[in-house]
Amino acid sequence: MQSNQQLALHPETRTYSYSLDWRFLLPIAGDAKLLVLSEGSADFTQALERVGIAGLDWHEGLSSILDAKQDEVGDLHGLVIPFGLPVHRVGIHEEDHIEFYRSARRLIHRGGYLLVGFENVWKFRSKARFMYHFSSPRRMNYQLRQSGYTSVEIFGAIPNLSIPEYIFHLQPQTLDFALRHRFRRKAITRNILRWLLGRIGSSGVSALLPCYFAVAMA
Amino acid sequence: MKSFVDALSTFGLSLHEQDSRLFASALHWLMLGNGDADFHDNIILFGFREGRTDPVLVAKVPRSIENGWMLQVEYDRLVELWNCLGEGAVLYVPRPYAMTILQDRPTLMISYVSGESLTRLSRRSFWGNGKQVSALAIEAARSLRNLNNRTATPIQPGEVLDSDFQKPIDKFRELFQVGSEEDQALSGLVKIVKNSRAAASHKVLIQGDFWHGNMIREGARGRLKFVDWQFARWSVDVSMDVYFFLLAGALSASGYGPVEQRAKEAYGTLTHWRADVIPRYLSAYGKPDRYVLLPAKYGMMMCCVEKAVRPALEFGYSHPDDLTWRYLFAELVNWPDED
Repeated sequence: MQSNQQLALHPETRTYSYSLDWRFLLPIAGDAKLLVLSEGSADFTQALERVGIAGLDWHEGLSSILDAKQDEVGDLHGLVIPFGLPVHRVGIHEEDHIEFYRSARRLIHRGGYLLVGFENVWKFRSKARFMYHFSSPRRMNYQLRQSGYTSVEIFGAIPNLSIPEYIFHLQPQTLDFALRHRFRRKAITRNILRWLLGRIGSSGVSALLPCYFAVAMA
Repeated sequence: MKSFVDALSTFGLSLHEQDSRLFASALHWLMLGNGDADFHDNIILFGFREGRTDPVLVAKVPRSIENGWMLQVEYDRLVELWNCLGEGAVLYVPRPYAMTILQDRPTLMISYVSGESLTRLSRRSFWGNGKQVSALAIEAARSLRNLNNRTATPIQPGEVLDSDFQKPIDKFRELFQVGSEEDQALSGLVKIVKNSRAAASHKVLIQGDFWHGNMIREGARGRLKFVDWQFARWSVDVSMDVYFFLLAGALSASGYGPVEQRAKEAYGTLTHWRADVIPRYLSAYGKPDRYVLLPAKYGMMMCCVEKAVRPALEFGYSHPDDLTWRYLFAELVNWPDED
């Protein structure tokens, strides 16, 4: 066998560090106008370009949101904040979050969506804690409703926000299916989860997932 | 404007079978992101009805619209398979419900196949155990042969099948630096494939991606079922399916080292299986007389070539696994001829 058996690479050989599968929770037709706000790494920005979704960095995006007039109705079918609110751009208090979501609503068309990804407040060891505000399904639901969104739906995401293997409605069957398949080769974790399900039920376990996507209709 | 999952629910609720609606109540969805973040892969959405533990519907959607053709192929081949097998197909494969476009996105709707995929069979405790490997191999071989026989159809005068095996060979030579020994092996392979296929009288529907990851078993003793038919095609040659199962198993038995090392280890496993697993597997499949099964060496080399160039030919990109197949091809050049 030759020692130098290199692959003659085709133009697109890479895979990205972001699957962007949350877009299937939104309208995805070609004429759907989506905008993603992120602290974007180059890889994330290139992944967005790859699937044809517009992205803005937070500095620019925040100005648009804060400059939006009170009675303005935007033209976006979806505004996406895939990793949550950055700690150095939005204050720590609940009122700060509600005010931000309320302002963001002005950029969204009536019937359009705001999608916010967030990590669970219980994820003490996550490094993202220093970059983004963590939350809980209940808190996020409350904040978005207080901000004037007409409906809020929370989806569980396992294991992380960048490449979630599973994204699902928070329902007993979907939760059970995700946990059963995700941990099918990890007997100890599976048994702990089974015990927890027996003790606190699926709604209790739903509150302990690592991450979520909230989808709110403007 | 509806979200995609809402559009999916609406379409799911409109599905009919023999004049009656398949689903009467709202569906909840679980999305499985296949292939990590590979934009050439599909996402799979499982639809659940209230009060049912298992999904009732599966929707496959390409991450990139341009790959919708894969799902169209899967739908068309599943329809053909059901036509050949009749209602008994439910024992082997999912039922194709619909192929449609939702929000510009090609979407395939099929039934759910309950059970566990064999993808995560343990490297050591399963693939290192010859008895267990033999048992699975024999079962897979019998099921495959049964499917092949039931789809076997006489080739019509003038019908052209498998006309372009030269194309993957050319792409292989283009993508990889091939040594003189390998170059000779490739030329020999083209001749053998061409001569063998010329004698076939029947075509069969091959799955095109026949490995344990696309097999599902319900319970410990349940029947094997087969999913992911996007690379299925009509062919006079079943070698791709028959030998891909062995090669994928041997790679699963290898470690997580560099690709060249993995290929060497897989070759070692195949050599080890040559005494027992492979003869029993091929014996369980049997010798087809109306269509083609190449000898092990050439069948396995052909698989490696096809797998090494498939992403380039089908999608126009190179996958990290391509090199593994390329190195395994190089190893197989040394496989004894007498098989």
